[in-house]
This record gives sequence, structure tokens and C-alpha cells, in this order.
Amino acid sequence: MVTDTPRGITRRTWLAGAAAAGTLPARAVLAQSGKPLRIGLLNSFSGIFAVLGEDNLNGMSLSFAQDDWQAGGRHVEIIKEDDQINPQIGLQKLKKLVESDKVDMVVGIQASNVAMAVLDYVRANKVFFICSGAGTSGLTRNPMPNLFRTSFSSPQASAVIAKWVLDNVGPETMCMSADYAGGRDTISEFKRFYVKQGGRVSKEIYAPLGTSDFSVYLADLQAANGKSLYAFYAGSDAVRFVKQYAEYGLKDKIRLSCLGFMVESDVLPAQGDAALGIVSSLHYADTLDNPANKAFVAAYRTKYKKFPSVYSEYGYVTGEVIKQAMKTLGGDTSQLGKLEEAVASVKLDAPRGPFAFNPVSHNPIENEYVRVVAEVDGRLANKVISTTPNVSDTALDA
Amino acid sequence: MHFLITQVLNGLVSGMILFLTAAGLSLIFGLMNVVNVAHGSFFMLGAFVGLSVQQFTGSFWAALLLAPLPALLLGAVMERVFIRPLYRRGHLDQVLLTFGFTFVFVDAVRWLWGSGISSVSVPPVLDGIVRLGGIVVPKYRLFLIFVGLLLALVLWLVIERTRLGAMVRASVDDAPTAEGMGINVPLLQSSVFAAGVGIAALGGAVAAPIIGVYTGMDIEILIPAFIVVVIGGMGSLSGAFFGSVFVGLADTLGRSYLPGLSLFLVYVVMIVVLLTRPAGLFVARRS
Repeated sequence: MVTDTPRGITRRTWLAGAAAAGTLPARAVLAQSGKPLRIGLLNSFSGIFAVLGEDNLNGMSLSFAQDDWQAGGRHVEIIKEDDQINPQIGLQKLKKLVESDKVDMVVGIQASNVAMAVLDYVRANKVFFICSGAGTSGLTRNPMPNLFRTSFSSPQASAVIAKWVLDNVGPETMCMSADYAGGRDTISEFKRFYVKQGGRVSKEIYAPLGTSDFSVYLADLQAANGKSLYAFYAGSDAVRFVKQYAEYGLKDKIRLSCLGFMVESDVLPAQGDAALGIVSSLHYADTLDNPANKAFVAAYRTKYKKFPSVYSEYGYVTGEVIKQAMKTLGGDTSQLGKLEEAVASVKLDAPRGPFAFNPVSHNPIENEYVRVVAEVDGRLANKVISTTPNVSDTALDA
Repeated sequence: MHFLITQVLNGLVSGMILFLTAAGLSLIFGLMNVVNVAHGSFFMLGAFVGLSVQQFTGSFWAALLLAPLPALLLGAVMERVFIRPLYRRGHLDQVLLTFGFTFVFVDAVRWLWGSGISSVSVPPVLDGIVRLGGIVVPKYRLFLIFVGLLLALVLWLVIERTRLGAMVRASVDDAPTAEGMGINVPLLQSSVFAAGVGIAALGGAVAAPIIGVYTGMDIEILIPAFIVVVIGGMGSLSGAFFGSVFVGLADTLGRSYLPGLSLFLVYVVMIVVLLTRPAGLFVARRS
């Protein structure tokens, strides 16, 4: 069942919860031995990340619904809170989830700034937290037993695209992103790998988060006479940036590459043909040809009438991780050490490919794919052009 | 030099988008003394209605034509039913009410259209770029500047050269006397409110191909539009126009030449204007 706060209620999640509750045989509910497993879901459901948070919740709901909202013999309850991409609000909502809702664990957080802001609280109060969104590497710089991440750590995807740009576009590029922790972090990761392998960054542009008109910066790019641009935008920023980039005729002049979030299926339909040919790296593509992904995409499409995005996949994998760990534990979450051990040992054939946790950083070890936007079966999608298997974040720094 | 001209054109584009919102905001404030925080919501509504019309008919021009209609109707109803009783109350009550409306609008839009971002494509005739010397400008941006200028001219002609405009000006200056002269001020107020939010809706529809269509665009346009009204002077059409161009240029050139200061440059300008010309830059001082 999904419990909503009145302000953040959406019909879809409510219906999902209601439908799930309806499928439970009444006797099974009565026979339940343990308390429900209460999961606090803190994510951005408003502003430019609204769709990301919703996709994440959808993926997770799908995973739990497939087991009738049962995990390790306990009934799963999701308590949803909106951080509004605001660190202060995020921290406040986290405290509410932990202190008054008494949740067993917290999942979510797409926005890097919110994730970083709650870190001290998570550490001090030993909150069991599975981050299913933000990729900022700072989050896991000082690992802790109660912090896991099912999404990615930014160096993983950056290393792969940096090498691709170097090998396929050239040794000089410009960089551009939104001016916030996640954006700057992403560019500096890219730069680190690109420069280490002999590349040079000729220009860096940081436009404010939520910039609606990029013309100022596009004129700057035009005047700079570069051949390559590595960019990072997400959500509605990504739509505007890609559309305006094509509008100014830069697409044919300056080769655009990016982290895959910029051209994920949450934004790709709105970007339209402007996105064709953009090369990106990511640990997922809805076109991936493996059984787990085919089943996931089919189930997701049936339930939500649209294709999943990488954020949906993060949510789904988070659900699967929790289910598997709860099974190992027989539903007992009372001992933090045992819970950590059970989650750390989870291995999955996830939609994104083989999934395991790095025992040191608790970040996922996963495949990274280089993809290109193309027309696939009459829709725009990301086609995989190369695969780097089992990329681990700590191995990259060695 | 090319770079500067390009950035000036970019500044004009953002100025014109601002003008379409600020014009109504300023007139409504001038005529009714109402601070309409929900003004940006009509900008958003226009963009979404335009999106749906275009999806349904396939015509961008139909979208532009029809986008203001729901806003016109809703605006007229909103003025009659909710705002009119608040004319004699303070600005705080009006702000609370119209601020509440922004939530209603956002949730209604989310419910009807979802919370994702959509985009509107431009008609083939406006697709592509124009090269003027060494300057590259997308055709649609030139079109947008044209729409803004045209609308400014039409509004100016209506207000300065027609009987209707004279009635509006009279009511702005002194509503009780205007009423005494036989002008139906309440009707005029409803009409100006509806027209003001209708123009904002047109602004949303015409800006949609550039900035996209999403919930949140209401607040993003509202804040700079308020700054325009403060800088340009409240209740003045020419103030709204020159204020918009001024803010558009200051913001664009600031972003391009002083990127570190870009986020608060416009606010600095506003503070300076408030300190030195509190009535606004483009308003003739009245005794």
C-alpha cells in the first residue's frame, strides 16, 4: 500500500496502492505475523525533477506489486515525501520520516544537493538509506555501513564517455552543464578522465539550473569555434537545451555528447528529432537486449502505458534489492549489521545487466553502455553501440 | 561585434516574451490596483492549451489563435467571482488569493496534462536559421521579436488612439470620476483583466517552442515580469515595454559578459531603480 501525504498525492500512485491492496486475500492480511515494512520514499515530485521522482516510484511500485507488496513475509508500505529539490526541505522531510513515521529504511533522493544535505543526519542517526537517484560521487566518498546506492556514481558513466569522445571525436572539447553540484561534479569527472588520457578542455560554461533560454550560451559556443561539446542536463533543462542546440544549427557544427540522462526516455519524446545522433553513456537503455529488461519493459508498459526511463529502472532495482535482502533476513530488519550484510550480498540479473554492490563503496558494479539516439521501431530511442562490462567506481580511481 | 549583436537579439527575444506577460500584469495593476500573482499561471495555461490545439489540429497557427481563449474566459470569471470582492481590501489579501490560484492552476495542469515537459514544434516556414552577415539567428526568434513589437504597437494604438483606450486611461487615472462621466468601469475592469491574462496566454503559446511546456513555467516568468513592472512603472504600457526590453537585455548581456553576476544583476538594477526612481524608470513623474 502506498500512503501519501495530502499535498503530494497523485492519482496513479494511489490507484496503484489501492489496486495492490485489493489483490491481497483478506486472510493473508490477517495472518501476517510481522509489522509492515515501512519504507520512507523521499524524492523530488515537483519542479524540474518531478517526472524523475515519479518514474522512480513507478519502478519501485512495479517491483513490489509483482510480489503482492510482500517482502520477507512483511507487508510493504511506502510513505512518500516530496523534497522539492530543496536541501532544507529534504532534511526536514527525512527527519519526519525517521522520527515520526518510524520507517525501517529510507530510499530515493534524485537531487544531488538534497542527497548531500541529508548525509550528516543519515550518518549520525544510522538511518538505513538506499539512494536510488543522485549520482554525485561525494555521497559515497566516506562509505558507511547504512548507506547504499542502486543508481550509479558519476565517475562510472563519465570514464566511458570520456574515452569515447577522445577516440571518436578528438582530443579537444568544450564542456557545459547546469550550475549546481550534480552538474559541476559531472563535468569535473569527465574532465578528469578526458585530460588524464591526453584530452584538453578548451571552454567551460555553467548556466543556472532551470535556464529557460540558452541562446546566450549557444552564441558563446558558436563564437568559440570548437568541434566537440560534452554537456550535462537533466529533466526539462535537457529538453530545452537539446531543442535550442538544434535550433541554432549547432548540431551539425559541434558534435554533442553527454551523459545518458540528457536523452533518456523521460525527455526524448519532447526533444524529438533534435536529439537524433546524440551519443551518450549510461548504465541502461530501454532497448537493451536481455531477458530481464524485456520482461521489465513489457510489465512497465502494461502498468504505466509508457516506456520506462533509467529512473524507473533505478526504482525497480531498488525494489528488487530490498525484496532479496528481506528474503535473506526473513523480514528481520532490527540489526543494522545483518541488514547491511544482506543488502551488500545482493546480486541481480537486473534490466540494466548484471548488478552487484561494490563491497567498499556500496555503489553498484554495472555495465556501462555507449548509446546513440536513433529511430527504433518507429520511436526515438537509445541504441547501444558499445558495452563496457562490470564497471566499478573504486577501480576507476586506482 | 557579431557576438554583441547576436546577444542583443537574444536579449530582445527574452524581452518580448517578458513583455507579453508584463503588459497585462501592469495594466491590471494600473486599472484595478490588483496584484495578480496568478498572472504567470495564465502564461502556463496558454502554453498547454496551445500544445493541445497543435497536437489535435497539427497547426501551429491554430494553436496561437486559440491559446488565449480559455484564459480570456477563465480570467473574466475569476475577476467577477473572486477578485472583485477584494478591490477594497489590501494587497495582502489579493496576493494570498491569487497565490492560492497559482496552486490550483498548477495542480489542474498536472492533472490534465501530467507533470512532464512537452515541446511544441514550429511550422516549417519558421524552421531553420537566417544568416545576417556573420550572425546566425533562428527564424523563429525573429518571428517572436516581430510578434512582440506588433502586439506592443496594437496595444499602444488601442490605448492611445481609440475611444476604448481613452476610457481605460481615464479609469486608470481616476476611476470614480470616470464612472461619474458614464463609463462602465466594472465592465472595463473585467475586460482589461480578461485581455491582460489572454495576452499572457498568447505569450505562453508563442514562447512554448523555445522554452518548452511544463508546470513551473508560471513562476519562472512571473518573477522577472514583476521586476519589469517595478522597473518600468506600474500601470504603464510603455513602461512595461521598455522595462521588458531593458530587463531582457540586462539579463542576457549580464549572462554573457558577467556570468558570475548574472543571477542577481537584474535584482541589483531593480534595487537601484527602487532607490532612485521608485515610480519606475519609464513613467513620467506626476505631481
